[in-house]
Amino acid sequence: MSQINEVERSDVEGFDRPEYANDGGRSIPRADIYETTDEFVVMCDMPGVKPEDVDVQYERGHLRLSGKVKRRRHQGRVLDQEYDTSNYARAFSISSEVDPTQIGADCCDGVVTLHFPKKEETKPKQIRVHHKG
Amino acid sequence: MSLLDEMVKLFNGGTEETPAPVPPAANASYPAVNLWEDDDYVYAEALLPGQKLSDLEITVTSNDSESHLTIKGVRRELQPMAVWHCRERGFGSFQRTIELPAPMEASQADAELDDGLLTVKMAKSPQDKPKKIRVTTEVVHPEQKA
Repeated sequence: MSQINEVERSDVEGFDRPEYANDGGRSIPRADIYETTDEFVVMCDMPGVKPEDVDVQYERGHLRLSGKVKRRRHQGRVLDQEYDTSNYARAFSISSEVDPTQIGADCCDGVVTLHFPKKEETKPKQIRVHHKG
Repeated sequence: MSLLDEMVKLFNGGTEETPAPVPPAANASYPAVNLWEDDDYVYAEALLPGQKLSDLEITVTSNDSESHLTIKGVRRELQPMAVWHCRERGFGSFQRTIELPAPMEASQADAELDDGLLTVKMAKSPQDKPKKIRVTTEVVHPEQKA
């Protein structure tokens, strides 16, 4: 099984009813996922979300990320609207190769980055080759 | 099937609600913009997560017949050497030009970028602003007609 996968909405309790639900509903943030020797990293675009309005919850192999967007009140007449102001939510399933006690998150310029450090025993190891002879 | 193959297949397959990859360079409508106005200004708000204001080039051009706002920038590729399992956010250079509804004072535009939201406030040209016309009514009394 993969290390980090998006889960079905119904797999995580409350995902269809995010805590910050508002009239604009919710958006699923676009995500990048990459892997280095030491960790998996998930980056999610969540423009309009401040660090204090990000919520990350991990429970039994599932991580749920949500972000509250403050509704912006625009005075005047709307000329064109290409997007709605809505909160964000997305969930991922995490494999046992990740150390759940070391999961970290930061938020900068509307991008939330999640770090999933690998357990020591699952990291690739360099095998030293001895010269025999 | 290897572990990596399985992961890539899962993410590329996606679900109906999963956003499709949108590389900025290949998408003429990046970034998404909302536009509104009041009597004195036109406002544009664009979704630009991960971007710094210093990395953007924002231009307002205006003459008697047309006005445009151009947003230009580069979304840098991060960790190109890492093993990638999912790429939806996109990277590359982008440029978007939006037609504005009124002549602008091109020198009077302000831009700010907070939490990945760019807001540009552009002042309308004085001749385009709605003018308040005072309506006076001269009251003519019947006895004056006589």
